[in-house]
Amino acid sequence: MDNASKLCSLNTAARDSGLTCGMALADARAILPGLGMAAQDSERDEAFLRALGRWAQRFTPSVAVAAMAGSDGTLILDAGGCAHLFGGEARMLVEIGDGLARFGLTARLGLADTRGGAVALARFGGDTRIAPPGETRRMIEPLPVAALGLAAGACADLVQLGLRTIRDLAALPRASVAKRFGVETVRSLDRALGVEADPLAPMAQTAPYAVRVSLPEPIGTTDALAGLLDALLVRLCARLEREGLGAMHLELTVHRADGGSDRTGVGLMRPGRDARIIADLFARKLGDLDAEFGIDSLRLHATKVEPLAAAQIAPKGGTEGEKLDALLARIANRVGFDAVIRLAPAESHIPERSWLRFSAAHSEPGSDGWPAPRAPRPVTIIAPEALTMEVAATRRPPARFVWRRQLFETARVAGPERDAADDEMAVLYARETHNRRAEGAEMWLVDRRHVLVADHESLAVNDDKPHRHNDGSVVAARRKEDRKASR
Amino acid sequence: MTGQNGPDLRSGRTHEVVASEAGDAAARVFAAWVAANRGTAKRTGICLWIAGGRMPPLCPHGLSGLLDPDALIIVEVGTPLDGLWTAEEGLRSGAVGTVVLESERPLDLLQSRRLQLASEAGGAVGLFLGPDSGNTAAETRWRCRALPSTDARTIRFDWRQVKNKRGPSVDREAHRDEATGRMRMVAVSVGGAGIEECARPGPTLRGGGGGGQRLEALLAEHGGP
Repeated sequence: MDNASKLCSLNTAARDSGLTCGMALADARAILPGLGMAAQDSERDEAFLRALGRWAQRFTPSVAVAAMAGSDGTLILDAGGCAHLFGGEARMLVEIGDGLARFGLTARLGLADTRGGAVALARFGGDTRIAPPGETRRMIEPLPVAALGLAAGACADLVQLGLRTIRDLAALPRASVAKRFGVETVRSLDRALGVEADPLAPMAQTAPYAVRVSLPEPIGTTDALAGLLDALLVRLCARLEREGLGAMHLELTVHRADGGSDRTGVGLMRPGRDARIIADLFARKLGDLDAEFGIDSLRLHATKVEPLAAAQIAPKGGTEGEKLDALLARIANRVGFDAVIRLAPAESHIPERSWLRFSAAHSEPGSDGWPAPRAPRPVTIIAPEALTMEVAATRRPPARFVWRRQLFETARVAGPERDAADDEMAVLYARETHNRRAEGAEMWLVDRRHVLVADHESLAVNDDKPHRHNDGSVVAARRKEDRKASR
Repeated sequence: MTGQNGPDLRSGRTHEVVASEAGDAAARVFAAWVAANRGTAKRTGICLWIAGGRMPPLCPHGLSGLLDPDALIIVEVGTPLDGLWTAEEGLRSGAVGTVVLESERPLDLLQSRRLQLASEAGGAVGLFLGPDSGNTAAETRWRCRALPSTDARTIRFDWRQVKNKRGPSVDREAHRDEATGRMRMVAVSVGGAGIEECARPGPTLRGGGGGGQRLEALLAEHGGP
């Protein structure tokens, strides 16, 4: 409806200068010429709020992230049964506030029997932030109706009718409120007052798959490090096994006595929790860690885990497949996971596009097998290269030509191959390519003039087909001319 | 059966194929044939193909009828040292049947000996595709090239054995059917039929001579570089 830039979030200084959320940017600049701003990035805001939510899980196991009307995010903590651990509700709020202040954040905190009540107190409660048990109604009644988090329109309507506080609204007959201001208004009120249930959908508990060990004395030798790593791996793998998971990537961080730290990581071909195999992968990397001043603590973190069903332990040395996975993991950890490749057929007639490369870590060989090629294909594909003719060759194809400083004589000419193209780019790309054939002494030559970009008319006949074929008549005509000229 | 009368490449050893250039197609066809028909390929089925990142790519459709591309695992290495390391790991592991190492640099005696020990430990067939490395620990060495075709449907290969540690060199002529990709051995010659190409026996050097002395002896025998 309107494309004007608007303010969506303000700091205290801006608010004090008279700016409000939803104000047009141009107006705001007129009021406050020195306004500093940044574009809204709601995804990052949400991610930040989730991160803050994970931090808040130290106070209670059930934390929910709620986006309220208006743009400020809200974290809801279910403090039931947890407050006494921090010395009471008041002390708990102070501790939360202090914790957030250490991040440089200003937070509005409120605590009440209901979620709506707590939010209302946090936003509009002033100094009274805590509603004692059973007194939520009394505490929030004097607050303005905006504290209920109603839609902006509904809020303005209420105020216009003189219903300024929650007490005014609660005093009205519910049926007429619902009729005039919508069911949502009544429900918000009911939730805040605790009449209607308002369950919390807490964030999942995502404890990292990590184990650590701190040492009384710093260590420095790779052997000692390997021993400790083994112990950590046994603990981590036991936990992964309990939860039916396997690690795909692990990271080892070492903290040195001088305060510095270093890290190294290994990846696996398939999710795994065999401590022996993972230790073997790490063994090649431990030597690279900087342990000059001695290491006094280690942290092993499975940064990527995937489900892995329990399986019977294979007899000694593992099955062929496990041996192969272990080998590929060793190689991939040295040369990189992108460099260990399996191939799969692709649907294209263009030779250099007729297969796909997959990292062997994330793929199995396809079940369909490889289709027989439409025409014989080369074993080696070289990038497009130009040929030089010995003399100005009039015959096509030329009787002799030079390629990579070698003179070639044309012994046999196989018929022209009319290739289908996926699209114009493929035509251009493929037709300008000079492919060397599998035999090492046979070449696929393409005359530059025979490179055609299919125009619409020649395609129209085949419009309904997935692969469009050039009918080749233009090429044939040119070849005819060539023959006539050379005669 | 495609493997009939083909070259007999012992498993648990590393063999060399002289590639005349990077990505030499004739050498690659030989390697693919060996991977499919020799060594322990039948047991594990997997061929580990190691090539430098700058090698022209191996087109899997070109192996049709020769080697199932699903049995291929390609490792693209950045440095020759990574390639040698990967080849050694692969040979030693016993998890793959064949390890093919494509390189633009020749092997030295130490490197080829290490590959030899690794393939002995794992029982796999090792193949080195690269420039002629001269004096190495290779079990056999082959020169592969394409011959002019006699008919339109056959690709002819000349597989010449230029070194064999255990016996006479056996050359072969192999025909590959262009349509099916299958390989057929048509001619075998023992003891170096291509006499004009057969290297003369080298000089026998005795005594604890240093490198310079060796070179002098060689020069005396062959009349200058």
